[in-house]
Amino acid sequence: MVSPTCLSATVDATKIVEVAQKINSLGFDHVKSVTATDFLQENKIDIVYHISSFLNIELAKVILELRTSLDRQDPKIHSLIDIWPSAEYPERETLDLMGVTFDGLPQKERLFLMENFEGFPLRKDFKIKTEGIDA
Amino acid sequence: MENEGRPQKLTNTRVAFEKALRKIIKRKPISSIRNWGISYSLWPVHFTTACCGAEFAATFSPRFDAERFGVLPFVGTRQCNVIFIEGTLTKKMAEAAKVVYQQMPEPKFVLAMGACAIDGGIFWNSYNIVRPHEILPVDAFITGCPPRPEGVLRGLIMTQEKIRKRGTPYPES
Amino acid sequence: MRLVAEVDGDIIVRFEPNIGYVHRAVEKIAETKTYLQIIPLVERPALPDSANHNLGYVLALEKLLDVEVPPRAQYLRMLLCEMNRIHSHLYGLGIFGNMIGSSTMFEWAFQDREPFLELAQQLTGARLTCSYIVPGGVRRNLPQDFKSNALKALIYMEKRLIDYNKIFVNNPVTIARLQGVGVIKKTDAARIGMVGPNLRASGVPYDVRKIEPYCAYSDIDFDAVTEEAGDSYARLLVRREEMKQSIKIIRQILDKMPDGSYFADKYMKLIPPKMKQLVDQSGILRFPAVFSALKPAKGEAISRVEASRGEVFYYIVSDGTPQPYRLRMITPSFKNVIAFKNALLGGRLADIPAVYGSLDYFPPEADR
Repeated sequence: MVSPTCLSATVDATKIVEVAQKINSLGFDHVKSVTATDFLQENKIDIVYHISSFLNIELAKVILELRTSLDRQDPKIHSLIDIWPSAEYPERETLDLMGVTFDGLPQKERLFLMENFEGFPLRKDFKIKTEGIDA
Repeated sequence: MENEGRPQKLTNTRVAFEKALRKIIKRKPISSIRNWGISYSLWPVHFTTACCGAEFAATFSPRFDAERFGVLPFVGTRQCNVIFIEGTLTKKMAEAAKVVYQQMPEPKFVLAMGACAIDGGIFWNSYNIVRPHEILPVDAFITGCPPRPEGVLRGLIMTQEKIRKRGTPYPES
Repeated sequence: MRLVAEVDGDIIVRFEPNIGYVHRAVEKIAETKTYLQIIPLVERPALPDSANHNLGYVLALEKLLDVEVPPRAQYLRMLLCEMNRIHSHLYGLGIFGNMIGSSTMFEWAFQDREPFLELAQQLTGARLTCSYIVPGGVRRNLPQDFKSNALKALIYMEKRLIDYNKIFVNNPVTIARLQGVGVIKKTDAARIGMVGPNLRASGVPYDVRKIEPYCAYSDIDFDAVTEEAGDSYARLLVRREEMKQSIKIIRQILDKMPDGSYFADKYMKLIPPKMKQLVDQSGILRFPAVFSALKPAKGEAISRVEASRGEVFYYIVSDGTPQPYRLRMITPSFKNVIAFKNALLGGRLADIPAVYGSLDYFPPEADR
């Protein structure tokens, strides 16, 4: 994409566990980040997993992107925590701030925000104050 | 035997004596000594809130040496009388700050350190922060992001002068 | 942060870190500010280590702006980052010493940070929040007497490292308190996703400066320090060795510094001529007008940088407007939170400060 050592793969949300198992068997052993981006007009939430390797020096130079799209009204995806335990805290953060449900994630309470906080801050329809005339 | 454990009968002389004693304590020589003692033994609680804690720790390093002013950061809240709000106060941390403030004995003081403690700083439009002066009575504000250690010492000296000039409230018995 | 431990007598049976006390929502605020205004915002979470986080963000932004950085600016960036690494490790060692009871180590470490903060002030104008690295280069040129002051500070630091060995590292109390405590094995460390000196102390030779060299690290000769034991004492030794390597790198940078401009030509020629005279005379940059509303190309960019506590990862999604559509930053302390659960199971209650200090956890960095 924008770097010679970055590969990207787009999959369907239902097949993500099989693809992840295949990638794990190739030698990629940890997840660097889980990012959820909200597209309000197109009514979808995009999830990107950035995966790389620590123990294999050749694969450590490569960052693999695993992309999938979810429906915005009911975003649900299977958690990859059984394959890669390093995905636990980024997935819990996405659950807390964006409202995506991960099946298979044991902890369901909020990570950063207080228990009685309402709404999901990182979504585009949660407005915060900005500078300027429309503040 | 019968009178042990019952409160002493308040005679007229005893009431008058206590009233006179309270007046003398609040007058010049004794109250100045009391304020002088309080101002030179302010012990802050170890309550690092956010990034200004790095410069707070530097103020107690040998180069700037805040201990010569009588401050000593202490771990137990029951023996401290100052709380430094260092940096941004989030909603979760504000509950903890209120609990710690209520645990400290009277007379107690609050110093707000950094731009985030004055009015939000660079995070003014965040959905998760609280302005300290809305939940605690602040005595001095220290500007900077983060404030230089000399700035922190200046805020401390200002609070000490305020104690010596205006005094502190007496607990009503 | 708040630590919740369930104990059976004195042995820890379950351990849960409770984070989120400094969550200030950097990612959401970044969607309302312009690209240049995000630079101070991104520096604030990791205050003792601000230059490395600044560098990671600007590297990702330059991939979208498609601008070429001159060699002198690359070397100046590396200089600030390595000085930052030294005083950030000293901060970690100071807090570590205070937690296990050695207040001498706390005072000595904070005293020895001061020469490096003075050097940073000479170079950039501020002690901690330098905001020195901008897209296209750096903000100021090297001052005249910087090289002699820096060499004096490095000689002083090398002597002090020998003193630290006598007082803290080779102290029998430290060794008894730290050896064998909080062991994390090599395969576990890679599987749970730990980064930084903690990972290298378990035997995994992963250092971003060697794997994917950024700036001019491929021209500099240094080693990635590893240890085999994986306990708290090994993490202490790795940090001490990394300070020695940073001193070696700074000496090579000061010798090999190339001449030339410290800011990209693409933007330098947009500065009006009267302003350009001031810039050439004083060596301090004034921004061209286009910086007030930078519009990078539509697309996405990632970058990774080796900060003092580990690897920082940035991911920017841009849609052609002056504000980013999405900014994602993964900081090393956030990846190290999971290590608390593994390192302390089966340990004793009194080992909690020893392991906490050795992991060098900085709460504002994890919560952003």
